[in-house]
Amino acid sequence: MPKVIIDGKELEAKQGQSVLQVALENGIFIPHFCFHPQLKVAGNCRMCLVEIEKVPKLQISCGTPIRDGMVVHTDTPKVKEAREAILEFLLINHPLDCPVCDQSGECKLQDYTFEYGKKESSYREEKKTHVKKDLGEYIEMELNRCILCTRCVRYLRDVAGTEEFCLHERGPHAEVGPYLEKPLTSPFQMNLVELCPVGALTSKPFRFKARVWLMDKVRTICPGCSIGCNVVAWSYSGKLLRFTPAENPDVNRCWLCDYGRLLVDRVHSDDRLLVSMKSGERANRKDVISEIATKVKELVESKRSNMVGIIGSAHLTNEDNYAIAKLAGEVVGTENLAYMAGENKRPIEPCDKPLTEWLVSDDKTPNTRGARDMRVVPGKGMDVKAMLGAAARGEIKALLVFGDDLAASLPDEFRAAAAALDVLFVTSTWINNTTGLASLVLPEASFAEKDGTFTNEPGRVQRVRSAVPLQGEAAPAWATCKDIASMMGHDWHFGCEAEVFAEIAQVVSLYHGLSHDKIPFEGAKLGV
Amino acid sequence: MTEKILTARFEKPDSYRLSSYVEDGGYEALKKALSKTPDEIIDIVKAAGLRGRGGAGFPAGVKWSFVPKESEKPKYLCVNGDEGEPGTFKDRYIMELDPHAIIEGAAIASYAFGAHVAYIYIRGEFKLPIERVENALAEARQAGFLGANILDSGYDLDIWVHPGAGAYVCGEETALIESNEGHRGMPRIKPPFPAIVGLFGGPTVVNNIETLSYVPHIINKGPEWFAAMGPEKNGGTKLFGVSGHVKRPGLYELRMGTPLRKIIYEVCGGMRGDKELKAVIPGGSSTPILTPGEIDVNMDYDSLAKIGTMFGSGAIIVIEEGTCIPRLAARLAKFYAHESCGQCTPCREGVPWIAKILDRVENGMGLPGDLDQVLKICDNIQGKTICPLGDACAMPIRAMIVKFRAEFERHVEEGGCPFGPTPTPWDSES
Repeated sequence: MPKVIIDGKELEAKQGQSVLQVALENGIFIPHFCFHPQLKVAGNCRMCLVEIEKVPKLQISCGTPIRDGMVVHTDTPKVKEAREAILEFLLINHPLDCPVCDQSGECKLQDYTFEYGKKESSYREEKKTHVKKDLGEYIEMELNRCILCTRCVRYLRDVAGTEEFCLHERGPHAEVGPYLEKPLTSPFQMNLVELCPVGALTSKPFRFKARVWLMDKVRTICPGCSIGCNVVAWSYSGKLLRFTPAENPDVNRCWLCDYGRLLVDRVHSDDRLLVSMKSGERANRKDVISEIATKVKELVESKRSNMVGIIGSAHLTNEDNYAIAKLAGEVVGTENLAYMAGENKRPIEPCDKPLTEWLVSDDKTPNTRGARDMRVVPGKGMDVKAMLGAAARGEIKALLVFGDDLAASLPDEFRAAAAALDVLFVTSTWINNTTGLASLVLPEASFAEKDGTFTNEPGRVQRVRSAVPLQGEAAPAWATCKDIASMMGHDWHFGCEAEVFAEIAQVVSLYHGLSHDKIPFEGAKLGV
Repeated sequence: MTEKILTARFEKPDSYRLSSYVEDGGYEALKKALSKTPDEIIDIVKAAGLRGRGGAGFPAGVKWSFVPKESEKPKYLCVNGDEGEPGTFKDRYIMELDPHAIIEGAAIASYAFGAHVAYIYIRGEFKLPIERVENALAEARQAGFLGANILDSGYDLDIWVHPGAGAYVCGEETALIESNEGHRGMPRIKPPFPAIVGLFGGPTVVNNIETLSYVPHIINKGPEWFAAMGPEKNGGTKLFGVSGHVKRPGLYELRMGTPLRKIIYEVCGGMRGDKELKAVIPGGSSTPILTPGEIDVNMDYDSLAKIGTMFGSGAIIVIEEGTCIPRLAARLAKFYAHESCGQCTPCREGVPWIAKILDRVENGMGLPGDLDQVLKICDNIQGKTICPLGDACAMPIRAMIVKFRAEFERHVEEGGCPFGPTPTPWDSES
């Protein structure tokens, strides 16, 4: 293994690594703009220049492969002077509009200028400006702030796989942008927002909503599909405002699709269901629980447990689904337990192909695998469709639907069932046709309000963390199940998601040995 | 003193045709070369001390020897006929008047390091050179000097012309390769060097037109003959393109090491109108300027490097008394700002900055501190860019300010140009 000395520290390196990679891996920070670990090296910003002994000129650390015995200095007067110069160059044509720039607070140019830059510019000439270009609905482009690092060009070409950007013009007139003045089409275009080290590409849905340094951040899982991309959920004043990708080399690397990002808007949307309802009227949560418990109890006591149908959901957490299955098995004793499982036929393991080849799942639920692991599956009973059929024929009298919009997926079957049922109990995050047809409705907590776990399609258990407080009267399904059980005389000992999961770890063999605290940031891969 | 090697055939009628070339012994060197091993060819060219005539002066034989013997990808030769350096006008004459010499040289070079495809990258504005080279290639193919199994040697080679699209930076070898691939002409970061990863990812040598044109002569007459023609490590002759305020500007083939004073006052007949000499740019616009006190220098790579300038492409620009150096500097900076590819920060931002300041100075709006600011920017550009274009601006501008500082300061103090609207050799528009 080659050894290099960086700033006096002797470090082991792998053949083929660059000086910058070795430095970063060992906690030695060298400022850089154009280098990105997931992109091809461009070497154009010149910010990462370092001094290498026996080499007369400063070298870019991102583009210089290490050699055994190489001695590198990242903090000499020569290097500092070069950094100052590069920052001054980048700022001479920059509008310096940080007060109204949405990148402020997470801008590399701002941070490096503070850390390594000169306090005053010697520039006395007129600044160059660029004509504004419209990139469509999601990305705001402000070329006057661009430092031409070409991360966007390289990302769209090499990672997203839609080569939509190029460098136009040359010299001082050079600018990045679409080949033709057309909106971006990539379903992964919003990764550009984080890739852009400055405020040239910002998010149209998010910009101007909050200053990032005032926001709360929590690492959680995108609920958009069975991949389970790791995200940071950003909120301000209890409102979820954006998702940004969190790094997980085994799941989403550092990317996120636009579909997933835009789900953020669903948390505070106008169609959120925030109150309990009974026969279309606002009701007390306790009364709704009591009514469904009474109805179910009646059927159970008259030995008609199988006239109760219970439906879990791949949108809900493992904790929710475990409680739903427990309600069906231990409290009601019905065999009619099922959920709408999603289906995906694509490979979703990270690879070097374009994102369209692996960061897309046909299964738009986050927890198909987890719901199955929690055994929300028809034992000897019926699947969802069969259960709705049985309800329509009067063979099922009470149906409990947790967190799924069945009226959307099986409209005719659901309508027929609803008409025939004695009682239709639904928990839902949003007002929809399912809640419209239900006699008893409770608001379900949204993905942003829940703690718990999702298990992604390849079997990785990942932590979901609540980013905002429970909205209105919303509650997670596991708590609702616990309340129903309690009304029916079953006292469940768990009082929070971590305790539900502790029970899962005991009961479900695949999850043995796991606990909320033991699941690392990158998730826990289950055995097969 | 004027040795005729490359220019020997220039005045012949139809010098550019194959029949004329063959009549003068053309393609004999190729025959000879094909009977030797590639390594023997490389050794001969190394021994001749042939250095790259494009400007950098890197020994050609050594460059060829960097190409790996075994390669999964095809190897390529790119012949650099971009000739964009202001002041330079030598390669176009070879392309126009003796294109077969280039083709023969390129074929020998390709054989030496194992390329089977070569491209001649010609500046797009060079209509006649492109036409002449294209025709010469067709003639050579027809005669069996190119194509499959050349002269029954078992060696295959084809050569194609790739016209440029008008960028100075494409004279830089990696930008030339990008452009040759059909991309925007932008220099690549090194490593990897072209000899390892070049055109279409294959090992590639980029040689200047003039460099390759010497190769058939070296094969024919031997490396000792060539080496003996110049000072040590600076073998051969050189095409000097002399422009500016001399009596007889033009293209001259002279031995390496010919004194600059001799070129100005004897070869070119002295200063136009017998005016005083003010300055000389010795090797194209990117080489630092010389004062009259510095012209007792021999024109070869090492002698010029010793006095802090460069041999460059042999483009000597002679400047007479009464020429405004700040104006020259401003025009030069404007050229480099226009030609910067815009890829890396110091060149993209720094060079136009210099141009703006110098333009102000020349036009009477200079401020105290401007000159030191320009020198500072030059320091901040030089050695920090992807390719030498930034240096090519910083070095000559610095030299002009350092050597003619009083003249710049006068512009600032007097708030205008003391020379009035004197045209410099750069002001083609005036």
